[in-house]
Amino acid sequence: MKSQVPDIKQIYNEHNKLVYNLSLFYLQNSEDAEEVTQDVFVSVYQSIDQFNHTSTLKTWIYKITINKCLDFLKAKKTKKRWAFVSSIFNNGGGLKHDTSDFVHPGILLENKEHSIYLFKAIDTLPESQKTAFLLVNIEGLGNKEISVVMGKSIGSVESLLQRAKENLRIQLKEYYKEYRRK
Amino acid sequence: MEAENWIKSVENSTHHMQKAEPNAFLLTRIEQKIENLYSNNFKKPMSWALSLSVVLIILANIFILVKSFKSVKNENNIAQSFNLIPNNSIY
Repeated sequence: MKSQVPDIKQIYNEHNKLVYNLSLFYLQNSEDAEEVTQDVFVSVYQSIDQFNHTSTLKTWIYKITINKCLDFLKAKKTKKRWAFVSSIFNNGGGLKHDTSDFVHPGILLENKEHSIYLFKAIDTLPESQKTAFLLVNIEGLGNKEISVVMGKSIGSVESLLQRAKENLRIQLKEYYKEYRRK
Repeated sequence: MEAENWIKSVENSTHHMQKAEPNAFLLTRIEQKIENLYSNNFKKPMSWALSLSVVLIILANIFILVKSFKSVKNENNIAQSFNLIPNNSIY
């Protein structure tokens, strides 16, 4: 029995853009982002009793969103593995290669082509680095807030960001070679 | 130099980016999911209770049948010990 019935409409109105956009950056697919957004708010509704106010509601929702995105990506990877296995045994079926380039709907027109490479590069980052990078560069959070969301020290967050930037540069150098060949 | 400029422009491609708007019907879908969740939470215990009742009825029937079979056997044993005919036939 719930001790308090949350006003999901109000919570949704205040945080829907945050959740949707973070999911969109993580998953790079609008349908997947919508699915995860729904799961996040259902989760918020179900577990509002567990929210202990040690952080803000916004921070708590950030945490739930990140966890849901990571779970979604893991489940997708597992599906892909099975699809690969079944494609070997299917007659005339080659493995479908996902070549969709993600373009965020909010990116300025003149930046769209370049942003494709950026999102591709972000997608190659390890989970923690990706999370830290997205939270600071896309969501505009400070290191202190990111440390609360990720449950890490500020020093760890700074280290993650440093490594994320380095890895992105390495990846972008490779993409530049591709870009030059076009 | 060209590579460096290109990388910088890629890194800056999210500048002045607008936040995307989710589907207008998303809230409706969320409310529907929550409603389904709680109606399923009521249906599950009900279906368990029904299944359990059916199992109990079957077990009770088996118990009664076994008991009545044993009592018939007992009656036959008692009749035999007194050299009585256990059935009702006269011949």
